[in-house]
Amino acid sequence: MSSKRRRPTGYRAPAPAEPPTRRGLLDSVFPKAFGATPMPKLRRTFARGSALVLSTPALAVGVPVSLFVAWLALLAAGFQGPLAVLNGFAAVPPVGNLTDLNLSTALFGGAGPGSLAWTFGFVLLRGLVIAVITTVAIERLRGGAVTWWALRRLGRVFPVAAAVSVLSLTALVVGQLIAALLGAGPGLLAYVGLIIAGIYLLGFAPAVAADEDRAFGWALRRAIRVARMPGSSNLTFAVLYALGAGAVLVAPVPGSDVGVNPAVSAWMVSIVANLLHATAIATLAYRYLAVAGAVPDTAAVPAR
Amino acid sequence: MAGPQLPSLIFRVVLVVAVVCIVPAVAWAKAAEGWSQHQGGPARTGALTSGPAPAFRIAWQVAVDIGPLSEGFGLPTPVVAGDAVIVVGREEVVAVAVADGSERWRVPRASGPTVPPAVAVLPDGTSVVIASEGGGSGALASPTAPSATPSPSAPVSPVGEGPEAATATSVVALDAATGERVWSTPLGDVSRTGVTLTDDLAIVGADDGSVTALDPATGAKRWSVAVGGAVQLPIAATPDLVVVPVRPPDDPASGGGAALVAMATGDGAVRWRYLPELPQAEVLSPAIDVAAGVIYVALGDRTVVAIAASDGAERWSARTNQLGGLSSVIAGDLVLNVDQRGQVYAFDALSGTRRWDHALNAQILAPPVVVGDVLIVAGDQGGVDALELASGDVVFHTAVADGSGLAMSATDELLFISQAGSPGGLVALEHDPQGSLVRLRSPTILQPLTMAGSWLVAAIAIAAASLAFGRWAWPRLGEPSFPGDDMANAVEDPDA
Repeated sequence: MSSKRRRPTGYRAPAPAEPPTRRGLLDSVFPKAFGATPMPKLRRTFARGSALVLSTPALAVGVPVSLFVAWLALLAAGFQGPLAVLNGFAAVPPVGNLTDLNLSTALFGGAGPGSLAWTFGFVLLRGLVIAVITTVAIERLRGGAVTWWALRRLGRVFPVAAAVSVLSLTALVVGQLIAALLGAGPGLLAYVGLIIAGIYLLGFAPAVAADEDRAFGWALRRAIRVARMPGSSNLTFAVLYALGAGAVLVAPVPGSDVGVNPAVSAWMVSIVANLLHATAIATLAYRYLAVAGAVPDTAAVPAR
Repeated sequence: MAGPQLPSLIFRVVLVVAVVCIVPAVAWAKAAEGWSQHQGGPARTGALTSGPAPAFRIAWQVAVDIGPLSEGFGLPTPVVAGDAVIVVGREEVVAVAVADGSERWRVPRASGPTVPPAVAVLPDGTSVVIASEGGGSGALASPTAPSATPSPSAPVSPVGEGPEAATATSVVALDAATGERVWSTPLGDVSRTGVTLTDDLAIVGADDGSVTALDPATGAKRWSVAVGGAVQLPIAATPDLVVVPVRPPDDPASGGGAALVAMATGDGAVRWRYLPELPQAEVLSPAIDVAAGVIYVALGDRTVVAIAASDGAERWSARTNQLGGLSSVIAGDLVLNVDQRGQVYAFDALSGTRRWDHALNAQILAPPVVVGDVLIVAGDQGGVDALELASGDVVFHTAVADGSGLAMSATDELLFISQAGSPGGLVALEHDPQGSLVRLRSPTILQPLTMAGSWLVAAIAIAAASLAFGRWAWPRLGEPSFPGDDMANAVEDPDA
């Protein structure tokens, strides 16, 4: 009998259904796990995410290379800078969607069907970037190395990451409308709150898709359940990331001037900023894997 | 029937000639020669065919109550009246000698936004400075929603006695020689547009959306028409047409959006309205090429458009990277605009094709001016740049003070810059024969080797450091293992 085994499309078998638990307000849709969570501490997961990104050539080299390719493509489209706009190139949505909006406004004026189409294009591209980083991170964490198998898995992760990106952009637009209605102070708070909520609720979805090989709806529901696990500090992570990434996007760092020949310092800032974004994505992947076995499912869903 | 006798015919011809030539000369006021109003004249072209050439040096400086930039800004455009240059501050009007900046007169003004005045020569030969005043401290705060667009409305902090210090708003004429009041005409609301002077009308806009035309000699109201929204930016005019940029009303529910409204100079009848694609987009201050019959104006949707003066039809539209600056400048076959991030654009006046651009990367509030063959741009921290019209290269840069330039004007010999600061003031620049010129290309011109080389250095340094650190750190964290890590769940390959 051959011992040859076919590699599964998902790393894990479907989690078994949990016994019914006490129901809360949102628990009919996104049930919460009670009791202690196996989620490692925030600092430890960030250290793991950092080490993963920095030790993986596909990310440590891939991020600067993809940033350069993106810059060349933007120049070809008529973009004149600043490079600092790309400091959110690999950012987790909805923070990253701010970059999408900025780019489409810079290139197409922020109005009309052309601008809308390009915004959608940038949002899909963001989905691809998030999918690649997440897939590589999961592959490295699960298998110890990145193989070409990641490419095949990417085809399954991309639709989920793209859908997350589209949902996040929608949240941003809604947030802008709410901010306009509420006025400067409360409006800004509501806007930032929506961004944090987007990271908190949607951030795990690509990792779920990469690890479980499921459709978007299932991945999204599971991602929200992961986010709501008690004691996991996921909300703290979302707040810290949103504020830190937001500061990087608006800070007057090198590369903030209009121009098509960024200085070495500008490139350095942009590359480091995007490696940090990749670290955040890898951290989310690691945090998901750490608790994947403990996440409750409402019902067992057959794997595809 | 016999025709008119020859002497009678001669008499009639002489009479007609007298009516056509002499009567207007004695009965109508007219704009003074030189840079006598905002952007040089009623068409607001912002160009002077000859003037001081770079390099520049400071000829003189005078303190004027313009106010610090942190408390807002207005359009304190210096205007030239004979051998004096005049600036309207928040609470004073100041006239100094063009030659040396010595003070001619300084008179108080009812507290209100700084505005561009206009100099008219009355039928009796007297020159008067016409400007709006008043509104008090309430008028110093911007009445409209916050906008990234520099506004002559000057969101300035209160001065005087607080909101109760509001004063009546009016248009006043001061004798250009002495500063004495010649006439004063009340207005219904605060005026921030400055005065546009055509051959026989002084035209002002107001916050209540009205445009009013006055007789420059007497201040008598000729006509007043409400165009909707708020009229707060400088108005352009020709002998036939008054072109008014209208801001959207504070309350969008009240209807109406931004527009460029063309009115007949004679009676204020609205000829046409140009509506931007985005209803809430700003319409900035227009400039008119009278000979070509084209109006150029920057819009809040990051475009500069050319509009036919005859019917308001759009001729072309060109994009800018940021919101366009307050006023476009027309110089020959070029239309120039500076966006708020300090990027200068030169568009072909006929087609709108971008000929060149230059990113100065400075905050620019002052409408630029063309003097000879260079464009002068006054920026923040006292920066003054001169750009060659032919190439867009910066040929001169200097810093004249620590304030921000708000408005400029020029004569053949001098360049005047109103600056915000504490105290703000008027700076006169003259040609410096010992000054050195430069030639700086725009950072928006691609230098492939420089750009790629910079990236390569940064990428190699960071990737190498990352991999070295990461490969040191990864094993120290231990191999990751996860509860439920179940590769053993992999199924047998049925095809094997």
